[in-house]
Amino acid sequence: MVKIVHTADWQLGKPFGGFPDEVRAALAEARLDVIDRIAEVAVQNGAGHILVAGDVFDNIEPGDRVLAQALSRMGRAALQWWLMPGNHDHARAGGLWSRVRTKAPGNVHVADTTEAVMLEDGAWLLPAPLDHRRTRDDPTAQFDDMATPPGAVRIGLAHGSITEFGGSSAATNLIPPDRAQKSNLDYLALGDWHGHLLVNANTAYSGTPEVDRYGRDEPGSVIVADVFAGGTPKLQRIETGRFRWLMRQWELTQVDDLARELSAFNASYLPAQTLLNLSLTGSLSLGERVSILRQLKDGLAHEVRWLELSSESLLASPTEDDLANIDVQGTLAIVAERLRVQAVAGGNGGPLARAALERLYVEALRVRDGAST
Amino acid sequence: MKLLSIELANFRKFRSAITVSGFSDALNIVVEPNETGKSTLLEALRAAFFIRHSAKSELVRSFCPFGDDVAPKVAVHFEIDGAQWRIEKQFLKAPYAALTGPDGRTESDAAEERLQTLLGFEKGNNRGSDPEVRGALGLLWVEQASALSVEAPNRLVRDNIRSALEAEVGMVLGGRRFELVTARVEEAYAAYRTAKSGKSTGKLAAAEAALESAIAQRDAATEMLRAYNQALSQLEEAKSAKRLVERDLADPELAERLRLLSEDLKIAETAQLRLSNATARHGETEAALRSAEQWLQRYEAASSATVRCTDALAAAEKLVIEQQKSSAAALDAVTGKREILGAARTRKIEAEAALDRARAILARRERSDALKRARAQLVEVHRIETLVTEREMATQGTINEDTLAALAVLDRKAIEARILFEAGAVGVDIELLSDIALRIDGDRASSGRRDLVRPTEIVIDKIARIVLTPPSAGGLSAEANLRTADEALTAALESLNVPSYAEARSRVERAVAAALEIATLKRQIETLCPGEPVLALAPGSIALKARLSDQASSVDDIADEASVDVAALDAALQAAREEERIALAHLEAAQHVAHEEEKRLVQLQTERSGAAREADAAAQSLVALKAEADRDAIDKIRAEASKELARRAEALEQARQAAASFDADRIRKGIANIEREQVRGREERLELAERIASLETSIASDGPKGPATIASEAEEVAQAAAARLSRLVEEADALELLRKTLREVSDETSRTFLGPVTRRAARYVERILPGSTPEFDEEMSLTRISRGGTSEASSDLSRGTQEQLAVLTRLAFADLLLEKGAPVSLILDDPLVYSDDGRFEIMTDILAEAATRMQVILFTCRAKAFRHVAGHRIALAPTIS
Repeated sequence: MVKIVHTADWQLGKPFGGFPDEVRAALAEARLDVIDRIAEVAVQNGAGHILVAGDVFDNIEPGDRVLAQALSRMGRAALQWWLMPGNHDHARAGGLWSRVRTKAPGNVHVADTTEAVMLEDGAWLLPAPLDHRRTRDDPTAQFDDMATPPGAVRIGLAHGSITEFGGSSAATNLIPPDRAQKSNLDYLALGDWHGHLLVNANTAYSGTPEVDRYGRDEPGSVIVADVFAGGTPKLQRIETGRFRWLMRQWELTQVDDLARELSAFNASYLPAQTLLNLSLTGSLSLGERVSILRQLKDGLAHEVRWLELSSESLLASPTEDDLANIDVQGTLAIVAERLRVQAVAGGNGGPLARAALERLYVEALRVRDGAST
Repeated sequence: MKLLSIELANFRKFRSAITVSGFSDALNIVVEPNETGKSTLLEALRAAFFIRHSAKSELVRSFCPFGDDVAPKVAVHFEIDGAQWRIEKQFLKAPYAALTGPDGRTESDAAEERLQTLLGFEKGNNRGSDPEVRGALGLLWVEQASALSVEAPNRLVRDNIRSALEAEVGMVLGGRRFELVTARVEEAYAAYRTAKSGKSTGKLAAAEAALESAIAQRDAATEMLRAYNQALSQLEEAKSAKRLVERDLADPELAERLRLLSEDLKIAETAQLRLSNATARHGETEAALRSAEQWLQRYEAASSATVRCTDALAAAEKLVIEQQKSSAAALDAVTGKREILGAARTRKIEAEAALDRARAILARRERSDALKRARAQLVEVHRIETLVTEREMATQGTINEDTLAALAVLDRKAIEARILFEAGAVGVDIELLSDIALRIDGDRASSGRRDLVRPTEIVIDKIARIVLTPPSAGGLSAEANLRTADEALTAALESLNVPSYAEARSRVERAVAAALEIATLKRQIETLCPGEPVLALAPGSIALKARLSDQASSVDDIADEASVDVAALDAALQAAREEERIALAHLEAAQHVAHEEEKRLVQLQTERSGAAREADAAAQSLVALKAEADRDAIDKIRAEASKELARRAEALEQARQAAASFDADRIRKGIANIEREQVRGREERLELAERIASLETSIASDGPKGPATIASEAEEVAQAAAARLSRLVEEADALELLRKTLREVSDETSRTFLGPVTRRAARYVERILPGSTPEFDEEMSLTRISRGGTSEASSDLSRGTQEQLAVLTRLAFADLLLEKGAPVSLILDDPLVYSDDGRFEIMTDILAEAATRMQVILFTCRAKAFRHVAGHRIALAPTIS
């Protein structure tokens, strides 16, 4: 029996270029910090080896800084780290992995050859590293050729999609779901799918230890596995992620709806650790829309780690009150009416007219509020 | 529209309910103590008409008295088109609206709608430019002086009256809020685009620049990554190429091939040697054979040559002899011809001489004839010359015209004197009948006539003495005159040597005739002398004389009269010449022939010499050859050499075949190729090693920079920049639409009103600014106001003036609406704060006049100021509920 930590898809060096600098820094930092967290988990659970099933790095050359940081953190822990090239960080002669090998401390191993390697006495690792040239074949096909001493635990390490997932027909690195059985593996540790997923009793995706994109509510995690020779492994999911990436859609038909949503949100999540991709739908008065957007911009936007807000689908229908607030009569009223007509008419000019009317409303309000003091 | 009363409760400073009522049709003055600097009553009016009861804005909240939490309430009683209405509104808490009128009561939103219809705001529908359709603009009021405060943003400097009026019109139509909103929108827009050209500026420009820069960086990063990837690929290629090369270099098959080739080479070289030997020996024998054959040939040649030459020599000799004969014959012929020529020549010369002689004789004859003729001419010439001389003499006697004329005068004078004399003279004719002595004045006289001009004594012998006395005294003078004239005439005649004038005249005439004759005669002379070519005598008398003087005597002798037939002689001469020519031609021909023969002879002789020499040479060489060797011996040598050659040729052929099957060159080439391949392979390996090293170095230096992350990051940044730009563009476009719409509406409405209102206002302006004259164009729009003769002062208008213009503009609006049949109330909130006394009076007068046509309501806190104004004063009273 051997106790290992199975992880994958670290995507170290992912730039997050679409975010402002300080968010970027926080996200990049989190990715490196999770290495320490993984080490903690391993130590806490008595695992001596950490297997990284591909996509350790986000690309084939993230630069020395990322490399050095990662290796230094790995080096600090008294554990064995086993890194395997995936599709993002596929092996290339003379490239990244040569440098990793050169700079790696003694406890960090690069599994970039299709040869079985001994983890410890009685436990062997069968890697299926990805090379940039071979993109369509089943990388695990060679497991059959890898011989190990009788009675040793056979752990496979691979990166790719299980054919059952039914991805696009051009999917690469397709791995048969029964590979573990076919090749007599005691456990097949997979990477590429960023979420925790048990394929069958012997096969699992660990998912990424730190979430890196929207689409999944749970934070990142690793699998702690007790692997038995000839038996079924015991698998346990342990959360390691710092940030949550949430995608939400809120429908607002009246002003109170916002408050409701906000309180529900705050009850479930820690805003500081959340990146929120929020789209608003519904229909309100002009005044209400302006007010809601103001609330979000002044409130929620600052509270969460990062807010991506889209409000195109939150339509404003100007009411009489709204227009009266602009002006009841006179040129401003005419301007407002003209824009309203354009907005209602729709077509290409509709959204623009709506935006112009909203702006008019905002400015008229400001002027009025300024004037009345 | 007329206001009747206003009620307030819980409204701003009016915590308790108050009523303001009793408004009259004319000028109403409401004195309201004013803490906030703004009329609260006005606000309440506004709220009642223009603010929706359901509104919850800041403004509405401000209606609530400070610190309280109550519901502000306002109600207004008014009259429109004779009907009375009441609008009541409550705000904030339990807000409601209620409109009561002739046809009952409406509430809430319906009330609001009804009210607006009533007031005529077709809200937002801009159906046309007719003010009627736009409705009575409800209430027109002038805000307090705070409207003119400099804190108001973007206030145009009103620098001329017209623009001030325009601005006021705009204020009424749009209100201050319109201005403020427009200003804010422009300000906001300016952060995106320039107002004039719509070029990106501010944050929009920055975003564009950021995007451009991001794209540039992305492109650079992508390129770097591509280069890095390429380096990796190249590294892989180089490594596998190097492996291949090394495999080839180490191939064992190659060594074996090399060994076999070397052995083959040895064999080939041996065969080559043998071949050389055989070739040499063959060559030797061949040479010997050839040498013998050559000697024999020379011998044969020499023999035959000798024979041939001897024959040739004999033939040549024969030819020479023959030729000599023909040459001699030709020479003889030449000599004969020469003799003939000589004879012909002599004959010719003789003929020539005869002809010459005959010719000479002829010439002499001609000369003598000519000479005779010349002499005759000379005689004639002399004769004529004599005539000429005579004539010349005559001409010499000529008298010139003037002299002649003078003479004529004198002659005439003499005749006249004579006539006078004879007129006064007594004519006495004396005829002596016998021979007696006559004495007149003592002088012997003869018969004849005499004219007596003085007493004259005539003595007739001794017979008688007569004294005759002519009658008049004039006779003496006449006689004197006559004597003078006669003397003058005589003198003149004497000087000219003529006897009388008539003679003088005839002399002149003779001279003229003579001159003419002379000319004719001279011509005659010349005609007589045409010259004589035979004598070489030129035409003319001079030449003639000269010649004949030379030949004074007749030297010429008429030689023999013998007849001379020149023609015959001439013909003879021609014949002789002809003969000579023919003879000459014959001679030349003969000479030519002789020359040719000579030439040919020389040639043949030369040939003969040549043939002789050849014969000699041939004989000599034959002799030499015989001295050299024996012919038969040589012949034998030749035969043997021939046999030997055949044998050796066979041996050579064998050696050749042997050599052909082992081509040393080809083998050597093969060995060289293999060696070259090896060398090249080693070189390639070195090159590849170098390349690999260099690629590894560059990868090692570029890799650590993280090109992949950099490229990926740059891509994401560029996308974010693009998204941001697109958002900003949307914002800018919305602002642009808004400002465009604001401007359009403002222009439309002001166009509608500007003309009519400024026209009306201008009339009032004349009163506050006397001496200003408005000018209108064809469409009756105000084009100019000139002040004091100069058009439109350019200095700032004073506050007071601006204030007044504001009031006058509203008044003009009211007038306009009044004319259209939609009367309004003119409501003024503490106007004319800055106006000086003079203007103030004028303005209040104007307002008082206006109040005769419409309801004017004036809110003020300055009771004193308006004290002099006649108008209905209204006080605030608590509401009695």
